[in-house]
Amino acid sequence: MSQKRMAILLAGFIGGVLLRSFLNLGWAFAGFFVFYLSFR
Amino acid sequence: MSIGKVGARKLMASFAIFLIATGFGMARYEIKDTPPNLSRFESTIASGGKTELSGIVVDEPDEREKNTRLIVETDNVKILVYAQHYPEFEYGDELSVSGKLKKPENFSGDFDWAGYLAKDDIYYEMLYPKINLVARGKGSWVKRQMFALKAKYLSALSKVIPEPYAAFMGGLTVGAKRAIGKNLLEDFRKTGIIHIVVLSGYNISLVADTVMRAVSFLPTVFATSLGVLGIILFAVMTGASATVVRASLMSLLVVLARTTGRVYEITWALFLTGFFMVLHNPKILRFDAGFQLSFLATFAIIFLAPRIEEKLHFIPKKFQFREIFSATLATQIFVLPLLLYKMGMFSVVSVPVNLLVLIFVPATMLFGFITGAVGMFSALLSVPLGWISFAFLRYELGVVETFAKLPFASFNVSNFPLWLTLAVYILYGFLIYKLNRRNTRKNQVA
Repeated sequence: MSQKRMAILLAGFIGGVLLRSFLNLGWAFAGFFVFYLSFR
Repeated sequence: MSIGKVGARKLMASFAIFLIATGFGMARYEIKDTPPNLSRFESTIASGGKTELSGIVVDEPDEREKNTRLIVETDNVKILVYAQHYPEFEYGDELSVSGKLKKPENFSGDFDWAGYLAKDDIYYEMLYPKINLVARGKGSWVKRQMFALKAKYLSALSKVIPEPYAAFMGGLTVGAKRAIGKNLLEDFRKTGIIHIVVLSGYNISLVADTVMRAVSFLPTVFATSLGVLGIILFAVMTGASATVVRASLMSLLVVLARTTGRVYEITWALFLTGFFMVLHNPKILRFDAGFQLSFLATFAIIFLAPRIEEKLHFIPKKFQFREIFSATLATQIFVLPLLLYKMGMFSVVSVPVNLLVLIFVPATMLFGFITGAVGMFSALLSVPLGWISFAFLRYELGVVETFAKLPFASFNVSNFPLWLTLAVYILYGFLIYKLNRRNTRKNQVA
């Protein structure tokens, strides 16, 4: 795996942990979905 | 296929990886955040909280000025028990505890005490219950031996070094959670050097380095095995806080890279260490200030300190003065927003104090270890070594006390907002990226 991909993987994981630590699962998924839609 | 399409595909692939990883991150946190079956404890609390239970002390007792805090585990649930200083209990004791069970409450709006405890799976507290010792010697054998060794070392120190210097040395060398005294701790905080008494990554890397040097005369396989074992045992002895684990893992990676002949890439070492620690306990990312500060400080030393060092030609290189100065400055700049957000205190004198103290820390630690080690066998022989240690400690505390007395040493910044903290870190990240990219280009041209 390239270093760039690895960095993306780490950033995503950390982002997910942080997001869920501030919001409960329902809201975290809502935030996740909004983020996904904004990039689509 | 056109280039544009390939680019778009690659971008989509990256985005997909990012989203999957985010999902994993959320799932990992969710699993950690789901407590074990607490129904028995919840029904106790609903009926007034009075209960009697038996459990094992699963961590070293934390002696504070007013009480001793014991973490007692029963049915896979940890309870924080506030006890009197006497009778003394130790790691691995089985206790029968009777008193009132309660849930941790957040006593101030700024600090999430309940969240902080839940990070270590502690969901309940008991204030000064009646405690009876049932049995001794439960828990891990290795941990018991290491804690006993630490206790022996600390008592050897206090035989030849007066207080509070002995407590300071204990904090500096093995991160001993002994009461240094409220006023002195406040002075350490005011002068921005509290990190050295709670065993920072710097102290651990010094120890790891010394361990490796001490065994370097052996054949590689033995040296590596002994070095790795030494570093792990030392981390266990100190209580393995997140800061210690981070620094120890990074030191272990250095050792492994050296032995396997691979290049040690400090950036990846830092990120992978952080990743595995968060994977193990995702809550440290949000609730462990030690982990956050230690991670940021290391980040600053890797990316910012070299850039600062380039500009400091006027500072002599002797005694690593320039290196320590740039590392201190970089660290201070980098941890400042988080410190303001978490502690609400800004230390004006932290750079000069860190400089004046850190230069002597390696020597102090070395003499501290030698004093303690010799003292375990003969207090008499350790007396002269104790004097040398004392001289170093006296100087360091002198610096701390003198600077803490200055009227402008520190000031309080209350309610430093989270959004500003995050905004500053995004700005820092951007600036560091720019600085390092420029540097890479310069190197390529050269």
